[in-house]
Amino acid sequence: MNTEEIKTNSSQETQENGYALDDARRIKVLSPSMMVFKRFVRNKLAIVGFVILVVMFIFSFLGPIFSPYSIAQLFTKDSYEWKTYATGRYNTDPNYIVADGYDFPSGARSQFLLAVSGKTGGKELNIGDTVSFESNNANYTVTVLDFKDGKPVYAIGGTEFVASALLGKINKIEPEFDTPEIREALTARAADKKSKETTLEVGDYTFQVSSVAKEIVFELAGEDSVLVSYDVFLALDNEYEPLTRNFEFVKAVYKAAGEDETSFEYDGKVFELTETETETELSVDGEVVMLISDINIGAYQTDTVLSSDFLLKASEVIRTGAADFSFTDSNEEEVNARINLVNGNYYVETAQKSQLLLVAEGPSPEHPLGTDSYGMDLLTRLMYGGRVSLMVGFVVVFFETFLGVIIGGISGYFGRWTDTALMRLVDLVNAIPFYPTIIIIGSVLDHLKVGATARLFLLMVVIGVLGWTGIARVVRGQILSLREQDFMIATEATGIKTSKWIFRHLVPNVMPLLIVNATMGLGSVILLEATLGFLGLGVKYPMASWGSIINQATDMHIMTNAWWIWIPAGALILITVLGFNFVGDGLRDAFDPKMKR
Amino acid sequence: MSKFLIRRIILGICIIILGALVFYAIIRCLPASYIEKMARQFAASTNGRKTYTEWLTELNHVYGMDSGILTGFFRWCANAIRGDFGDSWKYMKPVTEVFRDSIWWSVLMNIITFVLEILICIPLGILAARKQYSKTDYTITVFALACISLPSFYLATLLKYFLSVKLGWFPLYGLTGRLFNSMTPMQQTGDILYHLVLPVLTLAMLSIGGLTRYVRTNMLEVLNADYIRTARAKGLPEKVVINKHAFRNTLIPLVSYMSFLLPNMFGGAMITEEIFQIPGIGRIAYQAMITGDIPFAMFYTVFLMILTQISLIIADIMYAVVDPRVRVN
Repeated sequence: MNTEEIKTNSSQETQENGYALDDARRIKVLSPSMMVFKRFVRNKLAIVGFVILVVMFIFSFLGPIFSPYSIAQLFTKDSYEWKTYATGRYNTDPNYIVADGYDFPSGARSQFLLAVSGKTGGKELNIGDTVSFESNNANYTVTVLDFKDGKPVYAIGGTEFVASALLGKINKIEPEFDTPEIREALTARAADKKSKETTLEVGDYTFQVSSVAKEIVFELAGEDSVLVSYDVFLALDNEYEPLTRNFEFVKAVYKAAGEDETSFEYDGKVFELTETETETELSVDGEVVMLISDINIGAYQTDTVLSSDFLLKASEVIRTGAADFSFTDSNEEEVNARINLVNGNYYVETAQKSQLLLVAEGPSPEHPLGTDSYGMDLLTRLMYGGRVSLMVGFVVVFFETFLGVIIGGISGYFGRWTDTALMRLVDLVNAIPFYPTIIIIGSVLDHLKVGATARLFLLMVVIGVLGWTGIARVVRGQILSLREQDFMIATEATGIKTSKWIFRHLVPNVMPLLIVNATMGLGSVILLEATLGFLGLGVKYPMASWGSIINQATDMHIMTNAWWIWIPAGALILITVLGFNFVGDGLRDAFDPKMKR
Repeated sequence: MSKFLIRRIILGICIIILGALVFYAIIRCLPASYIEKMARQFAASTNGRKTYTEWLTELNHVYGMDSGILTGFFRWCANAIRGDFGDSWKYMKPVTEVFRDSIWWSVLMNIITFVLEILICIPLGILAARKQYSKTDYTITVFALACISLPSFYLATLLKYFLSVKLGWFPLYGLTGRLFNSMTPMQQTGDILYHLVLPVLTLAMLSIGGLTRYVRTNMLEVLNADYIRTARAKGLPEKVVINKHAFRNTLIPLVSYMSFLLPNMFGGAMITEEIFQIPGIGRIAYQAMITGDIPFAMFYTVFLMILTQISLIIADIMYAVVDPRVRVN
């Protein structure tokens, strides 16, 4: 097929070597492959294509080695946003502090509120007054301890059953009160139907009298076990936080406050009380550890620890109405904060650091081509994507060529019914439409939940199985036409061995066609793979391919606002396929100068 | 000739049936849970007109999922021959109806593309062949190769980005504008054509490369022929040599090439239609297939296979019609 070309040496060389004009050594005979190479090199387009391919291979296979990032590395950036740090509000709810081991259920709480609001008793309360109420068959006594700035502090105690009387007779009495003196007084009170007195003093005891239907019940006020105030106890130090809910401690505070003392002792520590205009500060060893105020401040998120500095400053700022302030947080860092009033709630906002994925970020020194819509470095993804695209191309083309040569070879060599059967098979495979098949197979793989790598290999097999027919036809045609040629008939007549016949004569003659077909095929397989990637049928995350990178452009937002995601990927596909086509074209011309057009 | 034709048609039918069987077998690879999922979806979407179990038995029966592959396939075939391809699962309408509604948009688009392609490729190919190895030739070759190497989705997205988003010359997608219903018939036609500009441009660009190179190759072959030398030797003007003697002879291979365009013309352009959201058969089929619409996928595949076989037969006939030499053999 390849005509031998003769190249004469330059005249200079001739003179140096001193050969005669007709000297056979003057004539340099090039081997056929060398000639193909020379012709290929002379073709400018082919060289351009070759350079493109070399660059692409270096980019895809060596590039990732030098890339500082890995294939699916996500990038984040710190962003500062005003986020709610703590909330504060003027307290209007009663604060119930219940002694240990004692229960003050919500039913009792509402009854208590009714009783002290005067709705049941109907009288104004003063310091030292008592009111009693009943809830769920239990009786309670409320004592007004204090009125601080118009806000009362109540102590609530339960009652202890003493005796009950029915129809003027005592029918039940606790044994410890069963003395003649008490019995007599109680009987007298029970018989006196007109009396409205709710208390009865006998000796040292003050009994409380209440009537339920026709039964009169005598009870003894128990110890106070609930404190109700409108104050908020804010511990500035975590160590003292449990104390804010400790009944004994709070009771001691109110006791000290009620008696105008400046200090009291609790649990071996001396607490000093300092009253300012708006709040009361409790300090231990000169350090303020707790605030008693009317502003309730709490962290917005449960894991935030509020520092004492913040609590002091925030309550001051809420009172003065300033908007911005700065404080030292629990990590000893200076933080700027601002305050917003919404609906009676004060929201303290701080600029907090949060990590955002660098999604569709434009080109920057760290990411020369920006980041994609997942927050991965695009240049790195393109390199790894190139690996996949080129690898798919090579594997598929190798597979196709292998199948095509075997089937086409068998068909051409054996001829007759084998040929007919195989050619009908080629017709059948040709008839199966590619995209519907690959889409259905894609959804089969989706339903079977095939992994990314297995999917890639299955994909290559499918493309190969659907694509070998072209090469089979070419090989068969070539073999058939070769068999007709005189030199083949001559070699057959000499009784050549089949293997020699195939490998010495057939293969070298089919090879050029195969190489050209494979080179052009590489381009089209890469295109095909890219198209599948674009349709979402190709490789899946975390793998990348050029097509699947462009797939992101199906999102209108990415397409219009982030050109760096899809334009370079497409350009790479275009350039690579163009490179393969240039080289394929150049090879065809080089192999077969007669066909050059 | 007629004997050959009959043999060719019988072969075509056999290939279609076998191809459909292969495709059917692939579909049967879908796990059984898939049918159950579809039945559940239908039961939910049809507001209890039929219960889940009813749907399940019906689907299993209709698609022969309750029997072997061969039995199921022949049951499908028996229905298909009577024109009953079942209801599309995605569009909830008979498959043939969905097909009728969408096919003509694709055909319209492809005919415009085809005309454009012919108008561009033949002059370009002839020009490149006449000035072989000149700068013009190289430019045209590189351009044609670039068109072949362009991924369709990339070209479509580029056109959308530059011509629609950046310049705002053309609508981004769709077939009709917002005010379509209030337009006169003339305006409506104009609106549709306006919307078809970008898709047609995409399709034309993609197909220009192949045809241009084909025309160039054939033209070169003809230009080297003896009768062209004779014509030149007679002193005929170059125009006549090219247009009458050379070009007419390139038509023979061109006709066979064009008959392969038939499946493209009726099969729709899946990706281009999908990107520009043209409700042609390509987009409809793509949407149906990615949602696993088995009846439509079966129909569309068989339709494409029939088109391919018809185009092959036409190519054979055309050869005989255009080239008397073939008839002799």
